Amino acid sequence: MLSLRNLALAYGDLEVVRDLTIDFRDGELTALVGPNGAGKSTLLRALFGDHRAKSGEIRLDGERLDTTSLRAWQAAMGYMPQENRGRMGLSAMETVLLGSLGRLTLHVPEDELRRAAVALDQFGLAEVSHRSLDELSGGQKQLVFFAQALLRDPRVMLLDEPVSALDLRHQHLLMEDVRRLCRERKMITIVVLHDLNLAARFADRLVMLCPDMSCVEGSPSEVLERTLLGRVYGVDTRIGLDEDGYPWVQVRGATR
Amino acid sequence: MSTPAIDLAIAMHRRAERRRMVAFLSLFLLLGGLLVLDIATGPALLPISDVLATLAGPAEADLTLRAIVWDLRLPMALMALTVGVALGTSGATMQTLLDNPLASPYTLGLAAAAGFGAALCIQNGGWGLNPSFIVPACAFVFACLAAATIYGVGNIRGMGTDTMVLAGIALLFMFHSLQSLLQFRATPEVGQQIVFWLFGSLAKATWTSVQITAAACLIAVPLLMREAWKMTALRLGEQRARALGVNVVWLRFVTIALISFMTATAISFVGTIGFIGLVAPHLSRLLVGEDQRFLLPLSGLVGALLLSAASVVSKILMPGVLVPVGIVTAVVGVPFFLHLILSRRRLAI
Repeated sequence: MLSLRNLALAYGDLEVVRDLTIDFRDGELTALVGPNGAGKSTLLRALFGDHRAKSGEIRLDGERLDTTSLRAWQAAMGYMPQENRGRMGLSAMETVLLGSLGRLTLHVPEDELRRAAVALDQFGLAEVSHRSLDELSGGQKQLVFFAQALLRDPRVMLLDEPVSALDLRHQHLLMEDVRRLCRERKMITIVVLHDLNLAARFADRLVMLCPDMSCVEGSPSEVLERTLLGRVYGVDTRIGLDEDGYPWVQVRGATR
Repeated sequence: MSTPAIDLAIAMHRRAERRRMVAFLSLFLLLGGLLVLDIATGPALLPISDVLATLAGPAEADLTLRAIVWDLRLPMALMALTVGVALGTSGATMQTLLDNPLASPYTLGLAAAAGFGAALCIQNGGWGLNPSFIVPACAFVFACLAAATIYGVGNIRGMGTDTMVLAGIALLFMFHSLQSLLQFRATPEVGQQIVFWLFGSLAKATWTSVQITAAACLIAVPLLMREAWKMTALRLGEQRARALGVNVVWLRFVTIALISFMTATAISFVGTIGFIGLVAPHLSRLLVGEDQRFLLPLSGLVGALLLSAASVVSKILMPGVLVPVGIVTAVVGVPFFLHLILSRRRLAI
C-alpha cells in the first residue's frame, strides 16, 4: 500500500497540493483527475521522488520513502512522464532496454535482451522492435514507453496522461493493457487522466484534485457528481449510467 | 518465454549490433590506410612501401627516411588521430548533453578561451619560459577557466542546457574581443605569431604533445563510455531520462568535465580546428543512430578519419606549402557537410 499523510507540495511560495492524506492499494487502478494546474503531474513527480514535498509523509508498505535513498525509492517506481519530443533516433528495442538501465553493460546481457523482447511481445510489438521509435504510431510509441516502465518491475506504476495524444481506439487499447497488468502484477497504478469517461470506465477509484486544494476520492459513481463537477471544472454537465453500469459525463457548456 | 517473434526480435537486435561493429572495424582499417598515406605525403613524397618498411623496422631503415617518418611526420599524423578522436567524441557528447545538433566542443567557449590564453602568452613573450611548453599550458589553463565559469553559471540553474549554451556564447564573445584587443595592441611580428597559432595546425605536434593528448583521450573516452547508456536515455528527453533513474544534473557535470579536459588538452597543442567536432557526430549518427555505445566511439573514429584526410589534403593542396589544417577542414568540409544534410541521405545500418 502507498500511503500519503498530510502531503503538501509547492513551487517556492506557490502551494499546489495541501494536506493530502490518501491510500493507494495493491492491484488497484486509481485515476487522478482534476482541472489544469490542480497539481496532478506534480503529485506524480513527488511520488517518484523527483519533486521534494514541502511537508508530510510518503510510505510504501509502511516504510517511509522520503527518508530512504532516492535510488531505493525510485527502484520501486515505474514512471511514464508526459513528454513528447521530436526525433529520438532509437529503435523500439533500444528504448525498452533502457528500462533496465542499471543492469546494462556495453554488451547487452542475453537475459536483459530477452526480457525487453518479451515486454514488447506482450503488446504485439516484437515484430517492429528494430524500427525507429520515430516511425511508430502514437499508440505504438506509448506502448513502447509503457513496456519500458514495466521492465523496471515496479511496485507502483505512475502514468502521466498516457492517452492524451491517442485516438479513441488506442486510448481504450492502452487503458485495457494498463488495467490488465495492474491486476496481474498487483501493481499500485496511478494514472493521470483528463477524460472523465475513460476514467470512469477503467479506474477502480477516482481521486479528484480541486483548485481549492481539497481532494475528493471514491468510486467513479461517487465522485462524478453534477454539483462537484460544476464547482471543480466550472462546467454544466449531464451524468448517467450506461448499460454496463459505468457512469458517463456529458458536458453541456461552461459556466461563466 | 520464447516465441518466434521474441527470438526474431533478439536476432534483429544482435544483427544490428554486429553491422555496427563491422562498420566500426571497416572505418578503423580505412584509418590505418590514411595514416600511412598521411606519412607518405609531404614536400618529399615517399613510396608507401618505404613508409611501411620504416615503420616496421626503424633500426634497419635509411637515416634520412627514419628522420622524416619517425621524427617529423609520424608525430603529426598521430596528432591528427588523437585530436580527431578528442574533438569527435567531445562533439557527440556535447550534442547529446545539450540536446542540440549545432553543439560542438567549442560551444561553451573553450576554444575562444584557449585562443586568448595562447595570445596572452605570446604577447608577453612567454614570460621568459620555453614557448613550446608555456603557450599550450596557458591555452589549457584558460580553457579550463572557461569550463569552470560555465559550471559556476550552470550550477545556479541546475545545469540547464539553455543557461549553459547562453553562458558559453557570452564567454565566446568576451574572449574573442579580448583576443582582438591583444592583436590590436601587438607588434606586427607578435600579431602574426598569434594569428598562426589560432589557425589550427598539426605542424606544432611533437612526440610529447602526442603522448599528452593521447593520455587525455585514454582517460576521458573510457569514462565517457561508462555513461553511454545514460546518455542514450537522455535522447528520450530529460524527463524520461529522470524517470529511468538518471541523475541528469550529475551526468552533465561529469561528462562536461571530461570533454572539457579532453578538448582543452587537444586545442592547447594544435590551436582551433573547426568543423570536426560538429560534423563527425553527424556523419556517425547517419551510420549507427543514437545508441551512444556506438555513436561515441564512432564519432571519435570519424573525427580521426576527417582530420587525417584534411592533413593529407593540406599537404597536397599547394605544392611546397603546408596549409594550416584548420583552414582545410572548414573550406573543404563545410560544402560537403551541407550537401550531405540537404540530400538527406539515409545510411543508417
